[in-house]
Amino acid sequence: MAADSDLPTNYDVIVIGTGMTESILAAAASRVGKQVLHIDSNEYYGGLWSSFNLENLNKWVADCENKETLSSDLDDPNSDVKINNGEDFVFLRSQATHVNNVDLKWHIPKKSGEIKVEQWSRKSQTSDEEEQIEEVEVSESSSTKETSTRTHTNSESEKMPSTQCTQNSNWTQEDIMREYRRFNIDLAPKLLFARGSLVELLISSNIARYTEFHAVTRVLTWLDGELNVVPCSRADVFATRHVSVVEKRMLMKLLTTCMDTENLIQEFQGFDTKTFLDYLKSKRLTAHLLHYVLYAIAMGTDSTPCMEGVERTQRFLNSLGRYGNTPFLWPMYGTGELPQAFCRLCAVFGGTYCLQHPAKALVVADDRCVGVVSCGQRLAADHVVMSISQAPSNYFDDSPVSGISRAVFITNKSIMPAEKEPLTFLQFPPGPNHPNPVTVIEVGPSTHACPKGLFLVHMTCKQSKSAREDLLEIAEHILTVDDVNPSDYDITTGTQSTQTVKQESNFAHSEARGGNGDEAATVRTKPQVLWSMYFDCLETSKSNLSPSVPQNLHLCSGPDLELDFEFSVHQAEKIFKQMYPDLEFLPRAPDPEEIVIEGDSPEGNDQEANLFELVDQEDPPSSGQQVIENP
Amino acid sequence: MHGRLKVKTTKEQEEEKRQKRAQKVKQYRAAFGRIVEKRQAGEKDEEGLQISQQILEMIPDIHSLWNYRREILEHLKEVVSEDELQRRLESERFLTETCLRANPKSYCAWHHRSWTMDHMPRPDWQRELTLCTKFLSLDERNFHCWDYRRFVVRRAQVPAQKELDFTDEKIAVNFSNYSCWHYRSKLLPVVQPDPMGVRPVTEAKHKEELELVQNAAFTDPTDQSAWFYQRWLLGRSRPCQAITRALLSTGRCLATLVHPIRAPLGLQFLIGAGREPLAGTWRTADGQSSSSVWVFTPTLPLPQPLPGPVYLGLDVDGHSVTAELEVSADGLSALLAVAPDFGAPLSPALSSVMLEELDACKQLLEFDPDSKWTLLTTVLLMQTIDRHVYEAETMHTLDELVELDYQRANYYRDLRSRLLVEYTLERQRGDVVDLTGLSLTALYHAPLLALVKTLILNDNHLRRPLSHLAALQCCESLSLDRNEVSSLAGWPAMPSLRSLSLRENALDDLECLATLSACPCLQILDLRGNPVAKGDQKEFQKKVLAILPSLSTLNGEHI
Repeated sequence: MAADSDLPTNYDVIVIGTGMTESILAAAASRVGKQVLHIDSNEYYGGLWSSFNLENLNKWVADCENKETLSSDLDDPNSDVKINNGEDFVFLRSQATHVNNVDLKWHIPKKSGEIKVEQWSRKSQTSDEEEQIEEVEVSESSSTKETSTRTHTNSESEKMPSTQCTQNSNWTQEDIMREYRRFNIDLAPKLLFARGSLVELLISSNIARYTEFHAVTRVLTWLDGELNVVPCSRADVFATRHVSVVEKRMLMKLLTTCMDTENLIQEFQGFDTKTFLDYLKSKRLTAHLLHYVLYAIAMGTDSTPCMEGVERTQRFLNSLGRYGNTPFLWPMYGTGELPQAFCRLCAVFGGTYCLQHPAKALVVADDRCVGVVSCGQRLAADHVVMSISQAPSNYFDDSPVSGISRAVFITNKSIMPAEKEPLTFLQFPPGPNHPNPVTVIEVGPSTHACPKGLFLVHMTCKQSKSAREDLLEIAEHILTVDDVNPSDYDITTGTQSTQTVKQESNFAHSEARGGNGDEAATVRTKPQVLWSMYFDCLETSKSNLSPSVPQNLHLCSGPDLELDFEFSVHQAEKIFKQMYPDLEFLPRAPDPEEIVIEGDSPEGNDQEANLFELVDQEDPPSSGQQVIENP
Repeated sequence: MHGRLKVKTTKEQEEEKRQKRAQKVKQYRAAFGRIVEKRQAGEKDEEGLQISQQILEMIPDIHSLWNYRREILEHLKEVVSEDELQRRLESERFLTETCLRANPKSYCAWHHRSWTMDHMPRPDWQRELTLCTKFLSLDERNFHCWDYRRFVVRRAQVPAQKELDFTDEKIAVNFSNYSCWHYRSKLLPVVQPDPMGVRPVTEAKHKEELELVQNAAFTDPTDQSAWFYQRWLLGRSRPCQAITRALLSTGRCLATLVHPIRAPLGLQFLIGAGREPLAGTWRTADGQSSSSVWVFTPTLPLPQPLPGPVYLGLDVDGHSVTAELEVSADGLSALLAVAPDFGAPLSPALSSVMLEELDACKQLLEFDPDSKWTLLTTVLLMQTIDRHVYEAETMHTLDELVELDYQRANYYRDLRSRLLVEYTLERQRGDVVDLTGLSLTALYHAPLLALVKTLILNDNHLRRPLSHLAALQCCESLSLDRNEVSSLAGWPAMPSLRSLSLRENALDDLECLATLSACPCLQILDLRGNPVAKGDQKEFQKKVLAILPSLSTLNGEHI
């Protein structure tokens, strides 16, 4: 970096890494008038909380695989930075060391051009009417032959027009890469509870105006080998045809009981040491209701303690009815937007931002961090905030070894097509082969997660082996994963494509071809995976730090396993209170009309003023999008 | 370095706000003054439109301004071209839109909008309908908009089925919506009328609707709106207008009807084989303009004995109906007393539907034994299905409701009183009716007591102005011992009343006895045990006699 772009060397706070917690802290410090320097070694914001388009995601994968070379690439800080007696260098690590078992794969041919594929493409353009007839035929043939309830009983997907259905596998890698910019693929997909602490913080701090959200449209669960819509709101319970009226009353009554905080102690007397499952059984709920409440609403397991289950149910219900039919919000353009919103506020209040600006080492003396070595400069601050992913291993009492298993799939349609584009939250209950629940979030084009005609499916669970081993089985319940090596396509493109085409034509003639129809119908019902990525990421929210961490160095955890952002917000608030016990944590930021610019500049050319104008001129949100407002 | 941000203090902001408000008030006063001037001067011009618009955009709820605008526009209608009028009314519509954005429940803005649309040369009703839909998606319970929607639907002639589909959608979003349920109750009989005329809609749809309500009830039994809709679904057709009581005698001629009427249309006595109309005048028993008890005064004395059969005629929905009175053995009077009908039997199909509903309610009560809407619905269902089988259970449930829903206890008590009177009237016929000790809080079905000579209402909780007693035209002896009557204000004229017992009530004001002078035959009055009768009996007697000189017996003592 050129000498003339050298940074000032003294700050109140230096923040290393632009993850969620770090960014909240940067904003909070800047907001109360502290001089903040916020640096990140990457060329993007968010670190492990980022969202990427498809090309940048490939780069990220490459970076993760090359972590060895990256870390050895560190200059020797001794060469250009001097330290005094009694001071020591503590070398920092690359974030990428927290990511393992990355496995990215295409499940479709590179290009079209194969004759039979073309035939299929043409066929797919037949009139809607014909397609509908085909569908009916299949449903009939399958329902007469299938004895299992797997696909064609009660599933709502059968009733809804499935518009994506026929655009099946005519996607090619080229098609998708042509639109790589239209993807926002999250490394840490999370939902916001409508009354969770992040939403409240966004509102109270007035940062909400930098963000836009979509309400999650439905909560699904996996029950008896098929997807079920969980009736969670009053309107859902009223409208659902899947539970009897008596069950409706049971469910509503149970939910009301959980919310009745006054009589809570009395109601749950004797259940302190029992599980939530025990409690639900004592209420003689039907099997369906028990499943809905335990696995979907409380997002628990058979061993969830009773009071924890109640708390989780309360959290879910408290957030209902604020912004949509479910308790959840999903950020437009992906979760990577959220750290950036906080960074933006930090910048508005004078914070300095430098991306591609790695911190190589800390200078530590007497249990304090007295310097940060970055790009040949020695910088100093009262407090240093840093992502835990860069901390050296001696800062941990026990190094985190296991973590979070993640999978992302690009698919050709929703797991349960609906009239309006769905945004789905689905929690897979633990099963015999997977001891941990699996969180599934499916997002579509209207949230700018992917191009039209495609969907993104995110899966997350606690790591037990590798992401692929942990998640593939679950993925196969709801998706068709044609697991072939992409190189197969290059060599035997023809064979693969032919198979697909064959299945489709079987499908069209399922009546005539008899038995093959069942298989084809199953293929047809589930979305097809076009691209997949698995990785494991260390879970650092519960790490025990060693006493050797300097007093004024504050370490922020990476993405945690929970569905929401609760942990980050609380951690940021806690650290802020340690740093500045007497100052307010993110007070409301002023609206543009409340601001006067010091130093008479009638043209208002100051950067801050412009920024606010930009905000002011933002288009009003189109329908379906949620702008958080305090109702 | 850039200029630093400085946030205005709340004080500065408040001062700014205050100044702005003061400015606004000044502008408003000036503008409104100008409008009043102009309107008085009869000026109907552009300026008037402009100034009133400015005020309305700030404050949409000033009727006079909207009226003034309409005056100007009606004037303009005569002088401008059709295109110009269209343009102006479109901007008028836009103004109401602006106002409704600020206040979605502004009566005058909504009214002005319908006026505007009705005067527009080329109204775009489809656009209005779409707007309504959008508006209702923002607030599905805005009854102004529902009302406007019905207006638009009428003009645009939208098929009822389409609107029914729309209510389906809205109910699914939030079933706590009176407006929407109400709209359904108006649409369904149009879309699917019951060919049998027994139900409000076809049998199949009726079942479907009941299921829908059941879903709502089981989801949230405390929500009233669905229960109200259910009442409509289960409601029985109103009983037909008919004559219930009639009397033709020298002293007294009267007729009572099922429903009150405003004018005695076609109401007349017909006598003899030739059905000669009897000349005379009709008036209501209580002096109100609408009543179900009418008193007849013949112009000439009645023929004695009555020449042959006696009929009473009445116009019902434009048709004339007649009922024959029974002439007494001596031929001096004629009488009609139709047996009361408080609930005709249901058809088997409807009865089974009701039983299913009752069953569902009972299931619901297993979960929420305290759900008042469920309890009240069971009462109504039991009364409809078989009022005799469920008599005891009905009363028990009503007692429960009084306990549970104390704020509405009197509602349940009145309902209970009505049912008790009905049960009693079915059993007791004749000149004497005894309603002692039934804890009545109100006297229902008084018109059916029009011919009763002795009425005993002892040991009840009657207290309110007893104007219903006006119906008791033939009552000679009335006993109201041990009730809670505290005043005789509003006591009606009871032409036959000879003896009135009000022992042990709460009368404490001597003056109110004056109202009893409207009962010309009153001779025996008993006020023992009332605060007013305490103290020196001689003194008391004197005072009472001063007010009611015709009394012969007071407090059991002959005077």
